[in-house]
Amino acid sequence: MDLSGLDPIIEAIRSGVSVGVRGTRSRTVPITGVQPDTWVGAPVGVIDFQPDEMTVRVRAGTSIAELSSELGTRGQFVHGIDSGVGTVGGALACGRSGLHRLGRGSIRDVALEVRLIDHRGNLVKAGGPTVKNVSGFDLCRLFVGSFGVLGFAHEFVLRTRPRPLAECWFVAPVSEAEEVARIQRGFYRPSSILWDGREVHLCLTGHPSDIDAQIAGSRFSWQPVGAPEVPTDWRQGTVRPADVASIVEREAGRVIAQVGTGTIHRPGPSARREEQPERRGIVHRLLAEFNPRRLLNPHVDTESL
Amino acid sequence: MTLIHDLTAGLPAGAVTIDRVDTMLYAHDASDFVGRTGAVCFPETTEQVCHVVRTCAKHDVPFVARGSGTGLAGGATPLDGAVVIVLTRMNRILEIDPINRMAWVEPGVLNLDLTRGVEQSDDLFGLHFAPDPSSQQSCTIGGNVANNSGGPHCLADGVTSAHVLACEVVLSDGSIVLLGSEGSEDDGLDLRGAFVGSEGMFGIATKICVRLTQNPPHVRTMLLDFESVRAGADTVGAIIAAGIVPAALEMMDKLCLQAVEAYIHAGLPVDAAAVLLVEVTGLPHQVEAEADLIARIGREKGARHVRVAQDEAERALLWKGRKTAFGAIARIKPNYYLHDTVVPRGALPEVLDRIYEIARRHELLVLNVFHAGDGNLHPLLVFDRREPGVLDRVHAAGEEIVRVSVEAGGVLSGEHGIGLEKKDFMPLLFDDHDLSAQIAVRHAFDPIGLANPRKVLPSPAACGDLRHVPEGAWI
Repeated sequence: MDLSGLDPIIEAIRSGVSVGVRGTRSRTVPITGVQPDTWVGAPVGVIDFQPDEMTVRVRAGTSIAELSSELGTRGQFVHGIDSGVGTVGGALACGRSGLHRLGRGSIRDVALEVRLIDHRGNLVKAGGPTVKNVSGFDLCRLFVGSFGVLGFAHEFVLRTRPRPLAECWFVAPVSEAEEVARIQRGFYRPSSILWDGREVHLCLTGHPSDIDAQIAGSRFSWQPVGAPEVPTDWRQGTVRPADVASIVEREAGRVIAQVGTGTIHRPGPSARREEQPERRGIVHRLLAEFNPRRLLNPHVDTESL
Repeated sequence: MTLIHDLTAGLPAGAVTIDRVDTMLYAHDASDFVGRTGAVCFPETTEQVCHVVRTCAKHDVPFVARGSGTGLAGGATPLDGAVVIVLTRMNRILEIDPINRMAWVEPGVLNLDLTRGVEQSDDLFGLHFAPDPSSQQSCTIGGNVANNSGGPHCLADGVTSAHVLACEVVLSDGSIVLLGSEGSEDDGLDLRGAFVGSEGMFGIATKICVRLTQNPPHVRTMLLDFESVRAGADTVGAIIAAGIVPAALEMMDKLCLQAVEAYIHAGLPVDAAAVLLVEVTGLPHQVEAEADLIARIGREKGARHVRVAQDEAERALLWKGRKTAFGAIARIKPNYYLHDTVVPRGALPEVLDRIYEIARRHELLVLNVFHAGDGNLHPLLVFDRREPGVLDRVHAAGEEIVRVSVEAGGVLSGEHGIGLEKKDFMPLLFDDHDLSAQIAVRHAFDPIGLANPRKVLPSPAACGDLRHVPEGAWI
């Protein structure tokens, strides 16, 4: 394994001071007022792209643009890390799946292997390089979305997938929850359904003729449209998918819901989850094991984990 | 008070047994390992599971959760007089939300019963639970969660973890915690993701929220036969490289084909060295385009014939051949040992060659029937255990197969888990630091170490359990 670029990080961690890791600072994380004594960055570069295996080994500091460009040469991409700014490590540290969560699943499923530096400065590997693996506990899913407080990930093997032949967004005026449910039932595995109480944005992927046929067979007045964007200063939260209808009807125009997944985007800070003491107990024990002196990313608010 | 007295006090009449036949019956799962059962309990509610677990903690006795016992790695084998908690009476589908495609179920629901329970839901396409292990008629959802189970149709849709949104879990101190949520995109640690596949060592799932998947409106099932295993394996890589992820992509070799054909008479090409069973699903234009491209790739790679199932009956027959392969093998020899490793797809031809060579050297018959699309090998060593010394040869060959797979860049298990069977192979993949991280996560979920101990982690590493020795104990 090429360990170039890791020495400064290991040295910083072993020096006993608090260390923060950052990429391009393009994502928001819940923070405390504490600042680390020193900052480090992750190494960069796509190490090994295997299109026949649908896997890519990539360093954490690699930009999303570089990874997307490399994978795009063979018509592939990594779900959740295929567009936008920032680094691969940043996207995985935050663990947000994006607007295609409904059709493509969770970003937590894309990391097959994670290599990280632990709080002692030791190199640790979780998972393995194959697309299927139940050898030992699934630490990869734990590290994705951990905001870097369980160790500093420096390298990943990620699952890639082929780009669909076509990906088309449509919009239709829809204000009734029953109509939204009709859309949910009537389309085959849509990639995304967004609803703000006034309009539904629908993303279909696959063969262009299948997309055309689905739209033609729908009773809604769909219009082709570009990919929608959530305002950058809005925050993501999660509700029960069954509660989405009442929330959107109540807050029409001030909320965007990812229908079917329960992900809600709103202006301002997102509400904290209802915490259970038993869950907090597990989180605290994990922190005691992986970050006992809180020297890794001390600026991250661990109460949000 | 004795353990049995305390267990009985919180459970319905007849829900605890120490009967000799019962304890022997529950001393093993579908693997060859036989353990020692302290007692067998049959709880019907989460509260009753809590009672059993709390009682085990009070008496410092380990416990093992168990569904149908179809596991092949010894994960549900009780050690050291553990209490076996049988969850098959907790078998209700509690709630179905067909609009948002999810259901809450108890852990004892059978995999296929879940699909049968939701397929008539109010969805234009119908719904199903995507993971489909070969044992789906008898394995439970709780077992699927414990092992992060797969199946032939997980190539495109993912294994169990991708289909579990949340679990209600009883921890080893008897407390109850909800991991994950119906809207599973919370910021923070994915404790649900860590729990799935933890082989009963983090706690016991007593309710599970599963994601349901729309049924495909169109299906093409194809059988491609080849004169060499290598040509078939090369075709697998070429299909994936062409940007197609079939719903299923399975391979059977010659000996397996001959056994299956003699069993079900499906008109399989018994003179072929290998066949690929390929299924593409979805909307019609996509399905037709992919089926055409797969047929073309297959022919370019040397497929002699491309048989396309003409109707549902023929499709069912082809799948029956795949799914009854293990039963058909009884026609060759009375016993088999099924292995489960994963290699990169590109390494399939070389690793299969090595497997045939290993079997030859140990004077064993080997059949290969496996999930070729994700490189998940299932070499079946068939034998007659009455033959003196044969078990030693079977285990020696199996160990070599595992080592060859790892040397080729693969991993120890794709879907059966580690359990007792492969725990001492873990150092082939993980060094001490890697294993320490796994031990640390286990301790975070189960600080007292009573949930199915001495599985998964290799024997020396299991000494990590000594970090939490009760006060006053002698080391």
